[in-house]
Amino acid sequence: MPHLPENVKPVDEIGEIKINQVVIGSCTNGRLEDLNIAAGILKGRKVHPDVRCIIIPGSQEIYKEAIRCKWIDIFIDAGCVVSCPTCGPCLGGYMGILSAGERCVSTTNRNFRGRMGHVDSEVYLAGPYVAASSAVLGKIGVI
Amino acid sequence: MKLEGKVWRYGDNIDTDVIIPARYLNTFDPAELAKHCMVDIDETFAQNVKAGDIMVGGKNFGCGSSREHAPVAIKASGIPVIIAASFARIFYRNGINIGLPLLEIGDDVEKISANDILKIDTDTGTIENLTTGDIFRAHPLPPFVQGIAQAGGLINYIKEHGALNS
Repeated sequence: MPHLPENVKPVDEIGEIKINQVVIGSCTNGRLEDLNIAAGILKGRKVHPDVRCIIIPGSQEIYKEAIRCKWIDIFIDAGCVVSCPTCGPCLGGYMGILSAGERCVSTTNRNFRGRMGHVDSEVYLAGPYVAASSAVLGKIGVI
Repeated sequence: MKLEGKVWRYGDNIDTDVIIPARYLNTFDPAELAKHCMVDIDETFAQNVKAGDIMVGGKNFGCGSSREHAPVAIKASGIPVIIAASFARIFYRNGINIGLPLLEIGDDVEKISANDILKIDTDTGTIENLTTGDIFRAHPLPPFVQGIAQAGGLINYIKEHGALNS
């Protein structure tokens, strides 16, 4: 929960929180097992029309393996944007910078005030299962 | 190093994203970084801080990313020392590397308020609150850290001494 990584709540206790963006991957949770979990959720489903979903494999090797496993096809077919492995939205550098009032579910590791963009945006840290589910639902939750 | 200055007081978990937001990380010019220091939690700081003022925070000061820009921005603002209940470890090491002394005083930090005047001896770790009369003891900086601070940072120290432990 914003704006501190140690503010932790179970997903079924947070109520209805609509979101604008989901980031899955990065150096923190961009392993093959993470992308596999996300692909399992997103296979045959679509990202909610109000949500931008950005996928960032943790390394070039993971990226290549995810292509071989057809997970990248699943992500693109679901309406996600797939990036090369890189820094970017995690620290509000580029790609998916949050504007005032926007909320993001992210599998990255920091959610301090203003971390991913505007000082009045919010970052909710989660694992890939919750993140991918939330991308489909348009709000924080699990499928 | 003996210092005296007015306190800018902040709370717990002051993270590197508020010390210097990532949108200003496209430069390493200390003066430019100082213009945006603390802006996301205190818009008055960068414009009103005076050289010699002292920054005081709560627990876990400097948590977050490893960006060295964070202590650089604070130092370039004119702050010669930071006092906190505790520091995040990467920020602490970055502070040493750039020659910014950091003093930990635990719960005693609660006895320091905004605009108090502090008198500090970084060699002994003695902190006197001239406004309240309280005296605190921080762990003094180890001699090699004092040397790095006096040289203005690790790079300057190596230039002067040729190696860290000479």
